[in-house]
Amino acid sequence: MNDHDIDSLMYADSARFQASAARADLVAAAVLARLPRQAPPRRSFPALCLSILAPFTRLAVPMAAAAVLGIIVGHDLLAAQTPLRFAEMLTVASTDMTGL
Amino acid sequence: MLEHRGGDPTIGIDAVGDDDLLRAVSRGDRGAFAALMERHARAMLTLATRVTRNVDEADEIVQDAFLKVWKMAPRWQPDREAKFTTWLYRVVLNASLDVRRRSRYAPLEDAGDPVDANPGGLDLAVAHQRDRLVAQALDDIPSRQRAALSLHYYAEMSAPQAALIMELTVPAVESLLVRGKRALRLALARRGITGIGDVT
Repeated sequence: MNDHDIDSLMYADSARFQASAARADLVAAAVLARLPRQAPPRRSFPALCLSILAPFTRLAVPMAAAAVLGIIVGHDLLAAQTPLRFAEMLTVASTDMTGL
Repeated sequence: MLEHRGGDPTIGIDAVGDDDLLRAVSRGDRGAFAALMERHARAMLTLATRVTRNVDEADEIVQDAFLKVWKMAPRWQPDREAKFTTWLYRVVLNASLDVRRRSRYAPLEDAGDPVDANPGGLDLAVAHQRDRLVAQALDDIPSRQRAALSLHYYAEMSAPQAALIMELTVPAVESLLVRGKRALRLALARRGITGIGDVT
């Protein structure tokens, strides 16, 4: 089968599936019937931004918490404070034990 | 309502471009929307039916595509976006190929569509057989080659037109067409079709 045969076969095959004008009219009528009553809303830029960002709002609290944690750890605050607290506790405990 | 160019009411709707119709649609003009559908629905239905081989699926695909048009019309920017018909063909072709991928072959007659008003019995049987074998052979070839062949044969497009829709270069589409025809020939040969006489 050469290229010409393939062309003939495909064109003969596709000729059977030509949509009629009447069918196109029916589809168009069905689409018009499915349209919402009001005109499609014309979106402003802020409204468009809000609609894009809307799915992310539910993640805002966890993300904020993660950011705060990141800042704390990033500044070594916990690492710096923890030995100090231990030192204080040991001093107090030693005083209690020895009575000095 | 849609304003005719130059304010001349004698100018028909055919003289109005797609972008002008879309601008009117964005203002909620159903008449302009109906005109847009009248202009393109038949070609879209033909493409969708040829690809899916299923009338009901094709109708649904085209309806959904035009509902997308209605929704996106307010955001359509003719200076920045692709040509409207390019966009529409892309939506319909991709949806049709998706449906075809999911459902594979389903006889057109199952959907109750009057395929051909005047075929003889033998001709009809031969046509059914050809339809079935071509559809199965097309299912066997890679999807991009199938898309290129669909635009070429089913939408009767040239390589440059198909390239716009597939967002490829013209040589890339030409290469897909050559390889697609070769793959189709092999797929048909596997089904015992080695000459045009086998299915006509």
